[in-house]
Amino acid sequence: MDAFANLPVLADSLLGGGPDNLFNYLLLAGILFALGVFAMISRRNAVGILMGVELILNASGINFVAFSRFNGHHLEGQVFALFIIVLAAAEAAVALALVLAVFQTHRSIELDQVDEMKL
Amino acid sequence: MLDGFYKLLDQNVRHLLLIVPELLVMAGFLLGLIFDCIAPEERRKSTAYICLLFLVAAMWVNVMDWNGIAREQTVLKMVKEVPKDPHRPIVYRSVPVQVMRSDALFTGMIARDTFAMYFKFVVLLGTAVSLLMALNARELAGPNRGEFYLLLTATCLGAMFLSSATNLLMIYLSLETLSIVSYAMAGYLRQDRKSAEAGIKYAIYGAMASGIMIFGMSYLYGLTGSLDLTGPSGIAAKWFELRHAATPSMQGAYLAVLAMVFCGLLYKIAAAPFHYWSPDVYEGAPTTATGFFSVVPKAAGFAVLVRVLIDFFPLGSTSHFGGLTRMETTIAAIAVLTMTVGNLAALAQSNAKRMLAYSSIAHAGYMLAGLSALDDGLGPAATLYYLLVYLFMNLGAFLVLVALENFRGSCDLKDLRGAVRREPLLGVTLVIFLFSLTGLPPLAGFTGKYLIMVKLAERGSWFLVLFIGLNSVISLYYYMRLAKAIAIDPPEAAATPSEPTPSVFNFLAAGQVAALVLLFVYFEPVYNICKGVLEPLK
Repeated sequence: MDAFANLPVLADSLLGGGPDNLFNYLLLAGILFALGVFAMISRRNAVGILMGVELILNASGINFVAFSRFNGHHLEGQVFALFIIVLAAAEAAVALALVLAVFQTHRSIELDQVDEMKL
Repeated sequence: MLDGFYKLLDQNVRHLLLIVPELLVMAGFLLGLIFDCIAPEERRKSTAYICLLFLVAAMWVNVMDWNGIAREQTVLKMVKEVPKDPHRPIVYRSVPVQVMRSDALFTGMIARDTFAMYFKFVVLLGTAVSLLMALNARELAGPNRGEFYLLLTATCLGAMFLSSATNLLMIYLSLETLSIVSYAMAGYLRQDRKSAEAGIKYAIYGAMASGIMIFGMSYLYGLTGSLDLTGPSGIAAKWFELRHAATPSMQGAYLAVLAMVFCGLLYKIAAAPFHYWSPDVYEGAPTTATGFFSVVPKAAGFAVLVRVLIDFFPLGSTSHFGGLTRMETTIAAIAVLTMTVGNLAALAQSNAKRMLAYSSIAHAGYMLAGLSALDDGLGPAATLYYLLVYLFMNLGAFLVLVALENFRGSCDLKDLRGAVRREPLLGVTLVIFLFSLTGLPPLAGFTGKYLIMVKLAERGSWFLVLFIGLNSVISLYYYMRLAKAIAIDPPEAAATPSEPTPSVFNFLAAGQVAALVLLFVYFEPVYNICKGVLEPLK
């Protein structure tokens, strides 16, 4: 019953309540996070998985900025989001370099085929 | 308004003088980088000496700092002494007692306390030994060898910041410094199929874990409104208020957030549900990097785990609003799972590196078992002691493996057969390290397990004690398989002539065996230090 009691509120914030409230941002971030996790689980391609990771990182970035704006906190959250962007770039650089190395040795970046070490 | 800004700037600049060890490692890294760019190919070994020099200097400054803090904080305290003989009077005596204080630097980003210094010592020592291994490892030789030394040093820097981080942002930044550089190290041998695979696997699993952790952190920030872990308005304090006031359905949401954050930390120490990356990465990475990964990032991961745990569940206090037993049970379950999975999987391995990878998962399990006793400082202190011992025995085993791989060309058990005949000293020390990893006296591995088990038995966690005992027996089997291959089995073919093993391996191995024996004999002072460094967290 509890879940249904909240439905009007949810619908209101989704449709009529205006775009600028915390719930909408959290919903967006949640959807992005779910998509990212789905991409990481379902993709076999290394680059596809890295894209999923980027989605997750950006979802947390949105969360940080939204919390920082709506909960009356200071700039900490926004600074955090900036650092997430920087580190996502660094991580992507190293990971893509490794993808190149894997492609040179295995002629493939499908991770099912890059699986020599097994139990 | 600008006044406040200048004041803050001034404070931050002055705080720079208090993180000299980190600055030294950074300087070593930068100087090494410059040197590596301008030096001719055959001189690039010297990059390692530059880094080593600065690492040793950082270690020295770290120990000096530690002494300084300890002396600053000594006060006289009256202690009641009850003599054993009941006829003699009770004596009151004033004894110097160390009151440890935690200094928050850079507006609460990192803490300058003995806890951080203990871990920095472990991390620096591990990196210095790994550097010496890397210098003499044949698989790392080549025109680009300097890069590997620099990567080691950079990882060390991340680990040092991680062990003193008290702010979510700082934890995230230093964890990523540590991880991203490690990915490059795992995939360092670019022409090697296994190494490239190890690199990409490490990067992908690591990115996943840190992504989930950072998402959890964003909710933690939203719920508590702070990024600082400690302090009156910090996360831990707010967390208790929230949980106290929360409805049961919200409690579940809070637990999910906490679980997400811990997921990233448990990944770093390769605890059981998050350990899948580690065997592949450890097998594929260069052997030196494997030894390094199994010690330094794990130590830093434990540092931040202990810090976060104790912030959320203060030792020896009842102000945690329940949930302590549940947390302890969760950690105990993860510990049992970790050690059992690690040991059972290690039984079937035929590659020494992969075997030791699973064994290091099992050891993370033993250390977690110590953390499952959070009622007073003894459990975590036993874990800290175990970590130091683990540094010597595990890095020692990898040290010998690097030396043997130099002339056998592989770490498969069949290729290592009879290696003791060529390198008697190294072979014998490897067997000693394996005994210590099993937990046999008179070596410090025994003391480490003993201290953890005693603490657990004291509070009645017999289940955990039983599992540690059983796992030690299981581990004896595969450790002895490795020992038998090296010491007893005859070599397969006539030895091909190759370069003699550098004597630095012999010195390091002998030194680490000596350290293990010393830690066994003098375990009490070291254990007391471990108890002491937990004080600032309380």
